[in-house]
Amino acid sequence: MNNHVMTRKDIIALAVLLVVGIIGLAVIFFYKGYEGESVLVKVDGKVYGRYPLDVDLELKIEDEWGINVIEIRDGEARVSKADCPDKICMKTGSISRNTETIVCLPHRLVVTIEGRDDDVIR
Amino acid sequence: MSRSDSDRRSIAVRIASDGLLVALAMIFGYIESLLPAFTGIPGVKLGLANLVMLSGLFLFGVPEVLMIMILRIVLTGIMFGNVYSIIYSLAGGLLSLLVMIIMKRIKGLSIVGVSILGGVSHNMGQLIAAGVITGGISVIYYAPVLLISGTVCGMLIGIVAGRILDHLPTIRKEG
Ligand SMILES: [Zn+2]
Repeated sequence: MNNHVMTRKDIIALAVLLVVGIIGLAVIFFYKGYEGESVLVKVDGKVYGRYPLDVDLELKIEDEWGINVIEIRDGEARVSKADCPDKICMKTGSISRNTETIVCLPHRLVVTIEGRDDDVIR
Repeated sequence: MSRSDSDRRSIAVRIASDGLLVALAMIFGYIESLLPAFTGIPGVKLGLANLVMLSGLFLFGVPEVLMIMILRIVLTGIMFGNVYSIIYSLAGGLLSLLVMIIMKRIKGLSIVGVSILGGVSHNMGQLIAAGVITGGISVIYYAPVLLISGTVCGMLIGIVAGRILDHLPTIRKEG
């Protein structure tokens, strides 16, 4: 039996999933097309604070899970320092557009850019 | 060889080969963790360890693969991670295995199709766990990327696993 030959159903599954993924990407792309206004910081599901994106700020969050430093500069937010094992939050880089998100799973931290009237999505 | 002798032998062979597979899956997982996180998106990875799970599912059976997977995740978690990483891996691993078991029964899907759906459900399981851990739906914005990466990586892993199965002599059947 040739295990490496893709069947019709394989290809249908592949195509459907890719199309759904691309539609999802397109929706997010158009949705976050505009600049965000504030930075929402959540720790362990609770709101830690909301900070305007146009005011430079260095915010150190130190809790039972670890340390993250969030930097807001020139209208962009990023995690500039973290002592988490994977450093994915730092590698994500800068975010500035509506709904863009940085996640630090080990520290249960979520940093999200909010727009003006997007209370609906929360 | 008497019956009990061959029983004993086959149990020993099983334990030895299961141990090998757990070790192999752990090594794959470790190699993968050494590769640079090329996207900065949590959860986007090739799924090398799933190569072992997928081949195991087609070669052996559900109970064995389930055991190998749980052992791999718990041992990797103890050695390189923490409780959170174990929960996170289990969410992806268990959902993926469940979906692969169901998909394997569907006629017309090859190992590649099973792997694609397994890869996607692995990522979705982790996304759900991430949502629960961070207590919010913000992670939903990662869903399309994880869907696409799970599909593509699942396909690659499935093709490789298919090749392995094609060339592997049926090790268990003689036991
Ligand atoms: Zn982090």
